[in-house]
Amino acid sequence: MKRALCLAIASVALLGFLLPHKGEVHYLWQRVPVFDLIFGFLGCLLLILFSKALGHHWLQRPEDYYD
Amino acid sequence: MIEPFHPFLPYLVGALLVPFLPRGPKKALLLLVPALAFWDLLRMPQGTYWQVPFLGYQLVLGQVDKLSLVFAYVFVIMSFAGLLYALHVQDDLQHVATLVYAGSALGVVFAGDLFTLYVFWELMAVASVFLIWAKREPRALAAGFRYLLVHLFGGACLLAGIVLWASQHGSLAFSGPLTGGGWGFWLILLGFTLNAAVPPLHPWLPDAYPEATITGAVFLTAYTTKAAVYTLLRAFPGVEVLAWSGAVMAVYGVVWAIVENDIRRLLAYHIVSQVGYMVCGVGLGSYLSMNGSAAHAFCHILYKALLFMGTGAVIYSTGLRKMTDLQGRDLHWQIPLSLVFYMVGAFSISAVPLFSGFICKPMIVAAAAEGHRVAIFLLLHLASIGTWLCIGLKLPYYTWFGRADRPREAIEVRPLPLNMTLGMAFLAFLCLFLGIFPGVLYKILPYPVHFHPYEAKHVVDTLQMLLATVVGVWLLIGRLKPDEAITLDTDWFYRQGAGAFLRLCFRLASLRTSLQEGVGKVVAAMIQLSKNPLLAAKALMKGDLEGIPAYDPDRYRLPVGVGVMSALLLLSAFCYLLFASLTRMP
Repeated sequence: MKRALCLAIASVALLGFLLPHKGEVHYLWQRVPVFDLIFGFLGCLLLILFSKALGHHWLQRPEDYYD
Repeated sequence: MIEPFHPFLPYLVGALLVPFLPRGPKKALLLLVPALAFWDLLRMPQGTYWQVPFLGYQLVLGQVDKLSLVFAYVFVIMSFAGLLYALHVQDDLQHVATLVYAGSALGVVFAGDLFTLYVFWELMAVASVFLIWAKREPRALAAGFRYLLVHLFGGACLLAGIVLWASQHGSLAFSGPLTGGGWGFWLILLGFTLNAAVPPLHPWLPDAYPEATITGAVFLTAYTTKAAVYTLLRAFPGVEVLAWSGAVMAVYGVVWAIVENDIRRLLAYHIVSQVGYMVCGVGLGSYLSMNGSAAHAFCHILYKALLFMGTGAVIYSTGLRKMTDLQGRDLHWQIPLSLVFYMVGAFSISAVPLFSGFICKPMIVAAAAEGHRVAIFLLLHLASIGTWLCIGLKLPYYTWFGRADRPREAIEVRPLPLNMTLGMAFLAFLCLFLGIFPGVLYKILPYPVHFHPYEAKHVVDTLQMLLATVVGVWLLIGRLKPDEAITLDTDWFYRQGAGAFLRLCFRLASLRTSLQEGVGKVVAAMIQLSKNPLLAAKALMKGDLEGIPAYDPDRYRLPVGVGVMSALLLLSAFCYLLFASLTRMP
């Protein structure tokens, strides 16, 4: 499973380098071939850590809170 | 040749007939109604129909154009799939509510004036609340009342807006963008955005939908929010505040979904997130973004209903609704079909290539890029990551797989009725069909489409993002573990606020009672004291008001002799003074 995931990531990264961006380039990062790989990974970590921290430190309450 | 009729009609007739039919014909009728409505839609040419004069205004019940038709098609298809899924339900209340709800949603999309729109709008709210109450549990009852109150507030804003708008512009027409600002404009927008669940007006949605019946929730996901998206597309394209609220709402829904434990509430937060894309598309206001919103609404209705069907199947089979109760029960062996169909919905919502989300969501993101809206583009992109990590990875892992962290009682897993499986299969087929043949949908969109989702670079970028998210989740799967807790949302203000208001009322009521008691005591004491004022001071000093003997005049009257004696003395004194003064006179 791990190996398959690594292989898949390597191949999409490679494809990112092989396929140039067609059409109009709106932002600089669209020229980075693995932008979505980096953004996806960092975005995922950010969302999980931020949301869980928000929940644990502020918003979560016992299930009978409103009863 | 039968003239085209208003598609609300078959739904209304169906709703009236359902309670009187035996089981077999009832099932046939439930499937016949959407089929008939779809046939009607296919032969309905664009134009304006069924105009009724009313109080000096012209009511238009049938305004048919490409925008209204694309929503009408999906509303009807959805009602077919949902009714197929709900065919085993032997509760006429739910069937009647469903038919009226779906029919009035069609009434909204064909309304050519604000008054007709308002009537169907409110009918939707009233019909839909019965799908929540039909669960007949105290929690559902309470959630239904909150849902209804919020929608009545929204409806009141809308009506006030309509009245102001009509008095300002002298017209009720609802055919193109409303422009010009003013109170009417903003109140109508407020009414629409409340139904579109734009934060902070959204908490009614994740509060109520998970409390509805298994089949009722499937319909709820489809109509209210998407009818609101239709009205926004029709009346408020290019309104800047919508672009920003949509982008923020896309991320907001995701963040709240990540900490959620209830499987259907998690999905409900993703409705908020996905409707965020649509609202943002309306706000961006370009042909691409508005086509994207309409296409996204179309696909979203189908895959979100499929997701609710998949999770509904889990709840039907196990009776459990929280991931903390479901994890580690190896349900993927016991109800594999629900997992397969759920995953089709999950791939669709996550915009995996070949699934329906891939052909619509990128349109809105691309429109943000084309409009050089960097922040909005990044927010929408971030929300896509959250959607995949939550719906594609977290929910299925902790529902059908996962490891139990404590020993639990075994449960009996009920097999699914055939019609539920068929309902899911039908929607799964449509999700794949639209993903593979996007042209079918693009043809019916309101504006000409020049968008090609299957461009190699776009496919690779999407796969990069999806795979990177898998790695992130893999690393942090322990942190994603659901907690046995609820998460506060903006409904805290009205739920706690209502509680505080109620407590204040009780306080005021008890204050009034104690005041009344206090005054009563003072009056009673006065009465007691006035019985014998001569002894009042003494009784007050002793603190014994009850012991005062009643006033008896004989007890305090002096003997008669004292009076006579005093009179004689007074007379003698008077005489003495008189004589004395007379004798001294010269």
